[in-house]
Formats: sequence, C-alpha cells, structure tokens
Amino acid sequence: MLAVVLGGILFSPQHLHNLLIMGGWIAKVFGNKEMRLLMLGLDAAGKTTILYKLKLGQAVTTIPTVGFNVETVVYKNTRFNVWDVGGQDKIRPLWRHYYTGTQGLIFVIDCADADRIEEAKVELHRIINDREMRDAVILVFANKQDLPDAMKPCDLQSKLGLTKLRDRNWFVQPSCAVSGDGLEDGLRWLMASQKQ
Amino acid sequence: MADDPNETLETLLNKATSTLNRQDDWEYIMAFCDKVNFEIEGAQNATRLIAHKIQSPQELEALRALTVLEACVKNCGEIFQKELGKYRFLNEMIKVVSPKYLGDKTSEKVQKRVLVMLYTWSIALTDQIKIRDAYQMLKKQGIVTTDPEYDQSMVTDIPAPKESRDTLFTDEEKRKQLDKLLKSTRPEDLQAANRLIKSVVKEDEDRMEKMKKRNETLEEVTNNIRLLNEMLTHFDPDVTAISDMQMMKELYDSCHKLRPTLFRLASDTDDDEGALMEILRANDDVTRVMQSFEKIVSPKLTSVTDRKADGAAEPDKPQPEVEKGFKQIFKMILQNAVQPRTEISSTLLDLANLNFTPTTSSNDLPATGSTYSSMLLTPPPNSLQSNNETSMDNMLLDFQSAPTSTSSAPPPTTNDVNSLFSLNDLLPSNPPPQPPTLAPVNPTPMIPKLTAPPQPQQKPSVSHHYQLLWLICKKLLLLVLRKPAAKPTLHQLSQKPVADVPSLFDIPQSQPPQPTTIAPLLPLNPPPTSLPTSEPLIASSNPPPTVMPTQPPQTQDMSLADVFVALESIRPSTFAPLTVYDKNGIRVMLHFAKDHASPVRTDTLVAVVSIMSTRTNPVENIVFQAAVPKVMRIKLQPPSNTDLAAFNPILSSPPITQVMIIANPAHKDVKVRFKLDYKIDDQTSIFETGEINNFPPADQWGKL
Repeated sequence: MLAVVLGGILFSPQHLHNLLIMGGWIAKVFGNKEMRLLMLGLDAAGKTTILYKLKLGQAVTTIPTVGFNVETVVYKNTRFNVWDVGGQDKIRPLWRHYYTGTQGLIFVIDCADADRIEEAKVELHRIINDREMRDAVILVFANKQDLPDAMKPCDLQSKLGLTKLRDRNWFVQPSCAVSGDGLEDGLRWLMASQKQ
Repeated sequence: MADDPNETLETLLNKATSTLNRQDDWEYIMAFCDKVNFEIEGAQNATRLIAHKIQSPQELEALRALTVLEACVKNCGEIFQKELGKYRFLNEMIKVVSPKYLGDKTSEKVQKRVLVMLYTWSIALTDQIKIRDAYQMLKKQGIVTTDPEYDQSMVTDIPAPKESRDTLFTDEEKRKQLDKLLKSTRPEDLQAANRLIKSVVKEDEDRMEKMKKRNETLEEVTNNIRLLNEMLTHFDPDVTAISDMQMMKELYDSCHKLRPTLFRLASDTDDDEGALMEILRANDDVTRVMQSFEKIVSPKLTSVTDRKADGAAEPDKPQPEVEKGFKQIFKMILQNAVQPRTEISSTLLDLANLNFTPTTSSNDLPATGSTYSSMLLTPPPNSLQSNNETSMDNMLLDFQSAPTSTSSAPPPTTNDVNSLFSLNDLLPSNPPPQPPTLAPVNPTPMIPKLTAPPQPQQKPSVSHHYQLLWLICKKLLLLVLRKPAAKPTLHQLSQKPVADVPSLFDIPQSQPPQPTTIAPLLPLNPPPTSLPTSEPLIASSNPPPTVMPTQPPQTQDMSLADVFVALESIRPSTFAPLTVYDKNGIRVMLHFAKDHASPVRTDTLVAVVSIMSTRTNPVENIVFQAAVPKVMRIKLQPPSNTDLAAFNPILSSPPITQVMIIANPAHKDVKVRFKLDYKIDDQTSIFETGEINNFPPADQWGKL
C-alpha cells in the first residue's frame, strides 16, 4: 500500500487525490487561469494594434495582417491566448479555421468607418452563428474612439444588431488602441464573463 | 399551384409580373418559387426568364420581376443563389443600369432597385463572389458613385450559409493542411500555417492583378473602338481633313497593337469563362472596326500616296471565278517553291509568305470559321488538291461531317474570314505594319475574294468561331502534352522555304498553337498590311504569265520527313485494297487513300497498312517495315499499336493501322519490300519478308 507522510500526517492515496483536485481548483481561482480569445473584425479595424498594445504596452506600426498573430497576454491572474487574424475580405473565409476552442470573441470595429458597418454586422453574425462559436462570449471593441465622428457604443450595438441578440453574452467596450484606453476594461469584462 | 401541371415557370412568372395586378401577387410569386424548387434545373430556367423580365420596357413589369427575383433569392436556397451569382445572370442585371446597354431606356426606379439589390447581395451573399465583382465593376465604371442603402429586408430571411465559401483554399488538401497546422500547439506549425496562408494569398493577388490588367486592357480597347467608330460614322471622304484621317489611322494602329495583347489575355484566361467571352467579344469588335477603317478610310488615305494602286483593286468586287483564283494561288505557291525568294517579285513574295493560303483556299465552303477549326482538328491534306476541281463537293461533305459543329455554323462572312487572320495577327511578336506609303489600297485580306460575294456580317459567328478555335487550341495543347512530338518542330518548318508550306498542316497535330511556340513561324506569316498586295493577282482572272507552271516541278525535294498524314484525314479510294500477307492467322492489307499526302506533294501516295489477327492467342511485338527503290521515298508513320489481342468473334478488337506514304516523283512503277516481325504462342518469333508490286499507277495518284 502506498502512503505518503506529509508533515507527520499520514495521507492515503484517496486523500492525496482530493488534495490535488483542490490544488487545481485553487490554481484556477488564484493564478493560472487561461482563456482562448479570437480577435476578428474587418481589415484596418485595429486588431493587431490592440494585440501588441496589450502584449507590449506600446502602440506599434502595423501592416495589414495576412495570416495571423498569436500572443499570450497575461493580465491579472489570467493568461489570454489571443489570436489576431487578418481581416481582409478575401481571407475572412479562413476565420472559421480558428473557431475551435475559442472561449471569447473579440470583434473589433473601426467606429470611424460608418460605410462598412453593415459589412461588419454581416461578418459578426456569420461568426457568432457558427456552431463552434455558440458558447463564446462576445466582446466588441468600439475602436478608434479618438477619431472625430466615431460611432458611439450605444449606436453601434443597434447597428450591429446586438440589441436583439438575447441568448448571448455580449458587451460593447469603447476603445482606443493607440492610447490603450478601454483595452483592459475589455479584458476585465472577459474575465468576469468567464467566472459566471 | 406549383404542382399544377398546366403551369410552367413561364406562365407563373407572367402572372406574377403581370401589370394588370394591382399589387404584387404573392400567391403567384410563391408559386413560382415553389416551382423553381420543384423543377430540375428550375433555378437555371428561372434566372433566364427573370433576366428577360427585368429588362422589360414596362417599368411595373420590371419592378415586379425584381420582386420575384428577391423572393427567389430568399426562398429558393443556395442553388438559386448560385445561378444568381453567375455572370450569365449578373450581366443581364448590369445591362439594365449600364448606359452602354439599356441604361438610357430603363426607368430610374428600376435602376435604383437593381443597384440596391446588387449592393445588398454583394455584402450578404458572400458566397457569390461574382456579385461583388459585378458591383465593384459598376463602381469602377462610374455607373455607381455612392453605395445605395443596404436593404436589410432583402436578406433577413436568407438562411445564413453553413460556412462561407473559401475562395482561397479551394484545394481540399491545402485546406486540411491549414486546419491541421492551426490546431497544433507547436510554434513552428503555426509559423508554417502563416506561411501557407501568405503564399495562397499571394497567388490570389497575382490572379487579381491579372484580372485588373485584363480589365484595363479591355477598357482601352473599348475606348479605342468607340472613338474610331464615331469618327468612322462621321467620315466623309470629301470633307474629312487629312489630320482627322491620320488620327483615325493612329487609332487604327493602336487597335492593331492591342490585338496581340488581347490574344495573350485570352491565353492567360483559362479559369474564367465570362472574362474569356469578354475578351473574345472585344477582339471581334476590334476586328470589325479595323475592317471598317480599312474599307472606308484606308483607300482614301493611301490614294494620296499611291494612286497607281488605287485603280488596281476594288475593295468589294466579288470574285466570280473562285476556283480559278484558287488554282492560281496554288500554282504560284508551287512556282515559288522552286524559285529562290530573292528572284520573286515583291508581290509574289507576299503571296509566298502566305502560309495560310492552302487553308484559306478552302474558304469556298460555308462556315469558314468552323472549317478552319475542323481542319485543325483533323487536318485533311487530301482535301486541298490543286488540280482536282471536282473534289470540291466532296470537300464540302468532308467538312460537314467533321467532328466540330460545322452544320450549325453560320454561313461565311467577310468578318469571319478576317477573324482567321486576326488570329494570325494576334501572334505576339508580329512584324510591324509596313509604312503607310507601302500600304496597299485595300488592306482587306484576300480571302474574302475567294469566298462568294460577301454576305452580311454576323456577329455570333465570329465569337463562335473564336470559341471553337480556343477550345481547339486547348485540346491540341493537351494532346501535345500527352504525346511528345516526334515530328518536325515548328522551328524547323519555319526555316524551310515555301516548299514546305503545306506541311504546316501537320502542326496542329504535333504542336500546341501557343503563341510562344508559334512565334518562330512568324517570318512566314504575312504582315497584315502587306497581305492585300497580292490582291490584284488574285482578283484578276488572268494571272501574270510568269507564274503559271503547268506541272509541279520535278526538282522538288523527295523527302517525306516533313510530311505527316493524320489517319482521320484519309479518304479511302475506290482502288481495291491489296492483301500483302496472310499467314498464321495474321493478315496485312494495304488500303489506298484517294488523295496525295499533301496538296503540293503530288508525287505522293498514301496508304493505310492494316494488320489484323484471327489467332486465338494474342500476337505481340508486331513490327511492319518497308523499303522502296532509291528513286522513291517511303515513310511509315507510327503504328496505332504493336500488339493484337486474341481474336474474339463477338468483340473483335481493332486492327493495327499504320499510315504509309510513298513519294515517287519519277513516276516509276512502285515496288515495296516489306518485313514483318511478330511473336506468337509463347514468344515464338516470326520473321517474314515479301514484296508488293501491284500499286495503282503513278499517274492516277491523287485521284484514286
């Protein structure tokens, strides 16, 4: 029979097992939480800028992403595995390759681009209607709030057809990727949504 | 209602779009949708019918048709959307708004609705990328300046497609690979995934770039055509200033220069039927406008510089003695074959250069375009006899039974004929047109002269012809890729002087008519503007005495190296076949062909060696060889097979066939010694020889 003496107390394997499970649970609560995030949106919405602002803390100059960037961003006690995927229309069909295992969708909107809001809406609904994305929470970054005439979050949510979206957990977070405003708020909402 | 057998799609659509209805009759609209879903090919037929209706001059009918269309998109599923997303249909919608077509006649309301529909679908129906392309094109052309309002109601009921169509990763293998790489946690796999995406995107971008270039060229062509056409309409030989004429000439020249580009575009466009059709259409238009220019302006323009030539040829004088002209060309070619080029007058040189002549001489026949095509497919050298006028009727039949759709082809038109040449002109490194001073009075190619009086131009025939040509080009290319050519290369051919011209017929069998491959031929090709120089000769029924040999030259090269006769092109003669060997259940027969190996090789006899077996076991390694006396030449083309299966009376296998060509310029009695090897019954080798004597007399060759 296998037994372990720990601090003078004898633990049976059953005890040990329980302890390990409890340990995992403790780790989840206090430290090593992980979350897979998929960041999508039309081209030039600011996805890559957001990713590297979160990762490096500074605004970088980006070029249109062909393919994807993936970075682990640690915020508070959560490791966010963020996939930033190019949004040019011809590579949008590739988005679905990234759906599997996604817990949170970050959908980035260029709020100064009112012309393409309809297009963004169509894309957003296409994503969230996918079977593999059914359980993902939806964070919308209403990005580029620093620009004049940027759409306000409340306008945005109706324009994106979110208001009518009842059975999903969604949130519109105003942001400015260059300054970093709103980004951490977004992450906090994501963390909170996971706890529920 | 949909299952009412008395109702067809058409009757339902008529009812649904009837202007007598006070409002949209949804009963009929839905019945129409049901019928579309119910019928096989319902979507295809529906789009065709709707396309017709939306172009109705009656606004209400057109609007109702659009309502029906909208309903179909919502209710008839992906199959209908696919049909909607084809250029075939989209072009019809574009016509409604394009000022080039119906745009000026269509009411604003209808146009607006069409644009809203195109815009909305271009966004919502992302699977149908051609809708987006079509819409972008309208934008590019300035027909749409600002996007209309997105009509949500138009798409709310459309069930979201299961997954958006991936136009990049159409290759299933690559898609799977990408999926696998992305699912991996190893960084190097992710990098590989990124690289894969980038390379595929790059490929796609190149494709788009090509498309852009294509559109730009097409636009340039269209503009040129429009301008030149306009100037031609207002052209009056007595009023129009020389400077205007010169400007027209410039436009003409630039059209001329654009044609090779068009051809290259066409050869590059192998994946897009719609675009190909567009290119071909543009080429037709160019050909037409250039022709008008040549007819209307050129004579006037050149008369200034070349008055003498002015009287020599009248542009559209029909050639009554077609066959005479035909014979003349032929004799001239024969003549040229033995004369050093430098000694020939410039007029003859041009004619000598005309390697198309033998081909085009068959333009006596109806359906010029298709005739040419069928010749490419199964070159019938035998049908081009220079001295057998009676065979013309047979030729006609031959061509009509040719594998291409000759019978459905329209009658010849001058336009058609020119298109033949335009292909020629289109070859990339075309020699530049001659300076205007040398320009002939009437640059219309000479072939129209050979045809019966010109008939009204028919646009469809031209594109039809090009389509055929194009398909044939592709087929030939495939053929060549499969079977590496053992025949003389084009280059060799092109280096030979005119004597070999007729053997150009071989080319379609052995060489792909790719522009690059054909390029070496160009020296033989006539510069387009120099063509008509030969015209006076052909047009007049009295050829210059210097070029009238009555006999084919005896000094002709006897070699058969460049001669090739396609089995399919051979017409059997009435001369009884010879059985030259009959032993061990194996029989070898000689069937003679009616015609010479090629029209200029009047010293040749063509025969088909056929070897069959009635043995109950297979015969293998059959080799038939033959030899002739030194004054003659013999050529055996590769056999169709070297083995014969065991004889089966119910399902007999085809005999081995092998084309034999004998050259006998000295008209001696032909003696052929042959050798026959084969293996039977467990590798027993048999080796036989024999002699064949009873050939048809040499003076009957070519009319057997």
